[in-house]
Amino acid sequence: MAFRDSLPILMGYGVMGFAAGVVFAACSEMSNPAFWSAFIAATSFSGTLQFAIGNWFKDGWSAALVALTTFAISFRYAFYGISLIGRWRGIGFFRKFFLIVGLTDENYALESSRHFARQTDFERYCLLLTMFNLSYWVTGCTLGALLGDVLKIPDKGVDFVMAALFITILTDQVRQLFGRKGAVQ
Amino acid sequence: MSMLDGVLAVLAASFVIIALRALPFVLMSRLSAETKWLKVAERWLSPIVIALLVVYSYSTLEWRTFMPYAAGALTVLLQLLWKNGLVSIFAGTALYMILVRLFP
Repeated sequence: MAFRDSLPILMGYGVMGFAAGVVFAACSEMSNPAFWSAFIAATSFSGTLQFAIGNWFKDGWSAALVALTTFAISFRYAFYGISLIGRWRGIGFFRKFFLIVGLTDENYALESSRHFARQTDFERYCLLLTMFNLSYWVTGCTLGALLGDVLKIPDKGVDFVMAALFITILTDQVRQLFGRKGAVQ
Repeated sequence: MSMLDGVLAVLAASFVIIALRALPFVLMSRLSAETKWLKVAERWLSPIVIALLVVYSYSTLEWRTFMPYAAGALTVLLQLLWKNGLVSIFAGTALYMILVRLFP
């Protein structure tokens, strides 16, 4: 289930991460862009940041300015946890911390909408999904920064995959909200 | 940018993002999970946020043309018919990729 749900994200994160890596290598003017791209991907796990930070590197921004701007462009993340507090109750500290680190738009959308009969199954689902997707993202960002100039993949229009993922989740949720009372979730 | 400045910048960004993602858990761990508004939030917040994510992701596409809406309609239709997320997502994306090549 977690792997299956991660497949559209493999496509989306793979291509987006690759693109973000290419952009970083092109505009950061750093001598080892693949290292930096992987480092940023593994510590922040955020597409918006990954695309934006190359220019900040080029302009030599201070850590304080980076923190302030990151706060502004990432503020939406502060709302995601609210609908997961109850559902993640009882998960151990380190596991929950890992899930929080991995709370991207896509992981949030899936985790907040999938329902399992047993809590242990839900916990397992969230952990696996986060591991799969984090690995896709870091791999994409690294390869993009490494090979961006060499390879050219026909990816025009593939960015629709993320819109499509959100659309299918929203379709299911609307059906649940307005559908038959007591329907199995 | 020097190595040290780069590491500090990356760590600053990482700290801010993780802190934002952790904020509700830190703020509300003291409150009961049974509070009424939290139940309401669990039910309604997720669809609202996901609807906003749909709008946001459209803003990065060719949203002034019919193409993303045609692909979106196909995605919704397949999802309502078969409830198979993978099929809906890949079919919708394939249609969009074909359309942007047909109508550049």
